[in-house]
Amino acid sequence: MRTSIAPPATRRWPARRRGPASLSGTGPLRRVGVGLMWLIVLANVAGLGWMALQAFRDTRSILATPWGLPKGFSVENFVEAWTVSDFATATWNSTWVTLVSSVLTVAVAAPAAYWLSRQESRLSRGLTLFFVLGLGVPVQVILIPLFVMLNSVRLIDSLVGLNLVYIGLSMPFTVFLLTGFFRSLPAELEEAAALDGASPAGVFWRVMLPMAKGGMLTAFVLQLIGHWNETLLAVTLLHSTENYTLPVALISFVQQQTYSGADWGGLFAGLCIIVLPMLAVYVWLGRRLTEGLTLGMGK
Amino acid sequence: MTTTALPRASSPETRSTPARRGGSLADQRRRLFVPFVGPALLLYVVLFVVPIFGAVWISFHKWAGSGPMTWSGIDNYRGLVADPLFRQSLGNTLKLLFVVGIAIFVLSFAMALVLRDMAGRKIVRSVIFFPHLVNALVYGILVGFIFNPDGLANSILKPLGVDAPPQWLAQDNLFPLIMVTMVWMTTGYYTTILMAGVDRIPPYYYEDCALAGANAWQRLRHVILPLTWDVFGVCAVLWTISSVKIFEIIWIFGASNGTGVPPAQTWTAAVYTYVTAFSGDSIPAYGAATASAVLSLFLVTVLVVLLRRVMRRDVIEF
Amino acid sequence: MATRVGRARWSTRLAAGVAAAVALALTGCSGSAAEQSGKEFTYWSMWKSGEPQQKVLADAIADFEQQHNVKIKVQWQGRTNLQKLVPALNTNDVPDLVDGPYLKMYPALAATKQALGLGEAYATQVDGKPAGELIPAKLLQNINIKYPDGQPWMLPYQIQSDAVWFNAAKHPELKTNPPKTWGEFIALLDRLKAAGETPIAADGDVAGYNAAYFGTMVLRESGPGALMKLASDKSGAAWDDPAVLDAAKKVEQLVKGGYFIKGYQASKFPAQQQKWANNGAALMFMGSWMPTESASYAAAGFEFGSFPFPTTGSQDSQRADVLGFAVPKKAKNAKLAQEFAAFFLGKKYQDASGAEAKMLPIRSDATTAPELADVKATLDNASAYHQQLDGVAFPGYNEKVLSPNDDELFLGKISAEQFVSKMKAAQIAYWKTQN
Repeated sequence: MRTSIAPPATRRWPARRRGPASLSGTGPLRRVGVGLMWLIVLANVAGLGWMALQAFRDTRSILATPWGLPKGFSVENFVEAWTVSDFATATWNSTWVTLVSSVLTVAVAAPAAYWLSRQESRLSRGLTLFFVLGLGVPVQVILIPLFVMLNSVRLIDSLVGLNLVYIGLSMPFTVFLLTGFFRSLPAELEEAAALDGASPAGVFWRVMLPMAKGGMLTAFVLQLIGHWNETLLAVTLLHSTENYTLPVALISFVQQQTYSGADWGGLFAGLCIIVLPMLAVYVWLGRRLTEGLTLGMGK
Repeated sequence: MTTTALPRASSPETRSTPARRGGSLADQRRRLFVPFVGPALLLYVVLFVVPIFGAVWISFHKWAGSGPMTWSGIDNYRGLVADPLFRQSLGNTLKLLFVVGIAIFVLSFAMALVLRDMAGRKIVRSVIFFPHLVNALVYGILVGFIFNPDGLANSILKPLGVDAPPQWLAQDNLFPLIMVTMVWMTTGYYTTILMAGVDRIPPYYYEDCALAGANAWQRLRHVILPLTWDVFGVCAVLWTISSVKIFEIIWIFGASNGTGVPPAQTWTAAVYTYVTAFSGDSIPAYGAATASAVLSLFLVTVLVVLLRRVMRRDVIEF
Repeated sequence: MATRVGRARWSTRLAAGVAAAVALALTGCSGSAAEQSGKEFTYWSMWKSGEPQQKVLADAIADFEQQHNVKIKVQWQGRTNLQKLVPALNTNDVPDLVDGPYLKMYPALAATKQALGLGEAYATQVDGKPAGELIPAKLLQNINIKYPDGQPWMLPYQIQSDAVWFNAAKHPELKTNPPKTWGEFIALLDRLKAAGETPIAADGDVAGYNAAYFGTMVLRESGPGALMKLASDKSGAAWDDPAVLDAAKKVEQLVKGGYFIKGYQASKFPAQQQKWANNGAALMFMGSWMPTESASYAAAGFEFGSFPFPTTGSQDSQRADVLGFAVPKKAKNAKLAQEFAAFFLGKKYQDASGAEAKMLPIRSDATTAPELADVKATLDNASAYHQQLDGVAFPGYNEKVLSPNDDELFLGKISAEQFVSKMKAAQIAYWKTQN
């Protein structure tokens, strides 16, 4: 009984209903729309391809003929970017900071969101509001005090410190998102489980969590994207090159290029190093990523 | 089933549950407060709420970041209100929030509709979503290459007979360019979310529409919009939060690859704060910087409250 | 019932555990960073690894480590090192040595008296002389790197100057007969224009480069210190000085005369500098770092030549910004850091900075790269010196008052008169907010 409550582990995207009645008509306007969509797709792909090709050329020829093709596929620019700016370390740092902070964020926020969504009292309403208020706070507000605080406990220039900050700062949004999500889940199942003798923690663990998988995946993916690209905090809180995350390494690489002679070839290679792993992950995760993103939004 | 993701204090189930459930489960659950909510609350308070109060405290001082802090009352705030640059920066933040926001939503919605039953929609969705995964810095760097006087854009225009191309990167054009880039980056993301909303609409609604002879506009007005309204609400809040923080794209766009301070026309409130504290060209004014951040916080709070008021309406259940 | 009690206890225990863990994270960690003996120190460098000057410094560090049997922990942070230093100064975890140009060091360290007096470094023997004597005193006439009690807080190791740069291979005549006065300069620009060559390149997106024109013009009109006096006038009346308007008018003359390269209002640095280095324009007014920055993309056979910014009257001071080391007051290994700072003034490293890094070493007896020979000669013969923007660094003044208005003037959006009146109003408003 208890186990049958949980929906199947792999929750499929609702089967698409391509009904006979098209949503937006079939007129010429629609045909233009479809054409535009493909044009945008083309522009995106072409832009990416162009960037990748330029990474194999040297600065002089890039400047002379920006539309030119590389003469060969020499990896010189990539080696330069990888070694000089130490993107290797930065990639590793970014990867583990992003993963750890995203996982912990969801792990900490989910029970809180569950409790707040199920408890009907002045305390829970007040606390929910308290979390939601944090949503409107731009990072720049707490940048300076945060720096001073972390510095006094020696967590400045530390990836552990950055991790903590990411988790703390993700609380309002994740709690907000998951509270809404848990609220949308029916309470009847919990009651049935409770009648079966499950403890509240057990109800949460065995009944609610499996049902909330979609929402938690959404929260996780949103944090993943956010933390991977986060720049302002990382650039302020990290000093040493061995702690740089990718965005910080990129800024530092750009500055270096600017001061010691703009090397556009190396710069394009650097951009590729930032973008291509994202592309690889995206191709690999593919649908799961976009679907996880949208699952919790609707149902 | 209610489908809103916005936490509402009195959604039907939660109101009905205590009465029915009464005793043990709710009681026992209440006792889980510390292990369940404790860690989140602690992290949130220590790393978020305390710094906010710290910021308010600092904003009443004159402080160069190190050395003595001297109490200066509301001088920092008075200075900000009098500073036309601050007003302009705040205006830019609002432009990003509203102009770019509306553009994104109109485009995303249109795209979601077009994509719904288009051949190859999966590929298209995947491709248009991807720009969102790319760090804004990358666009900032590329844009210089594309829009410089000898850049790619002009090299396309030249063969077309355009001898006097627009001065893309002139200071006055930079901010519009940033706004366009933001739209490019973000539209795919919201399209993906809205598509989920549109896909959720059961097909019999369209069949009913077809039977009733509704035209495309009526279908949009009476079926699609109302049924996706809650998703719009979530998206609106998401955009409000992220638009206020926009920083790195402006920093790299205008500031010659991070070597200087971007031109004042492009500053947002976030950039204003950062420049005041960290520009490195003059004595840091941490007090004024935090004051400007606190002011923008106030503004955002008001906006979010208003937005949620406007977006709140009855959710149609289906 | 029993289970419920057990569960409650479990939850309290968990909560206590979490609280303890966080408390430990917040306070306990501070004990773990053990204090080091005097046998090592940290240095936050303004150079990025790979830059020519960084390589010279790295050599010096390796030599110093070997000779003194110490360890120097270097972070090649780049130009934002001082921005990162400021908040760190509130704690006990500060680097022992930093470097940067005076214009950034002063606001970050000296204005708040956070820099240590460097008496020891100045007294350290370098090549048989106290290090302090190796720094030419005449360069420091208008740069105050001393506290009121006479203790210097900075040990300069490099000079930055500026000049009007050109390709000497293409314009050998400018090498032998450079324009000296404003009239000659304008005549040269007209000649270049008539010959179909773009006279001046500029990247209009870098506010600091734009302001160098107006700033230098004011100093040419009224001498070193004039810009500082102008900016610090709380009443704004100093802007009524006809010499100020004249300086602005000369900038306007360059703009309206169409001497700047097409598209300078809408480029992203270093686009126009790259064009200049490929003979897209004849001249470019830029710092002495120009050869280092643009050599990698300069046209084949490009030969760096330069002449000083033309005079508009009797004033002919040269820009001499100093760049050097400072030690924060809270540094734990200040003695060793000072020793290294002095060590870097050794002839070997000064020569390498000049010859290999193509910088201007502070020691006048150090080698100079051929590209910088003209600049060096001008500096040696100059009678007076000034700093970039005359050392103006009031909080937010450059970014919020000068740059926005000067950009409008330099990019041709407002006239000289409008610029002066806007500056006057903005400056009055600025000083009102500064108590």
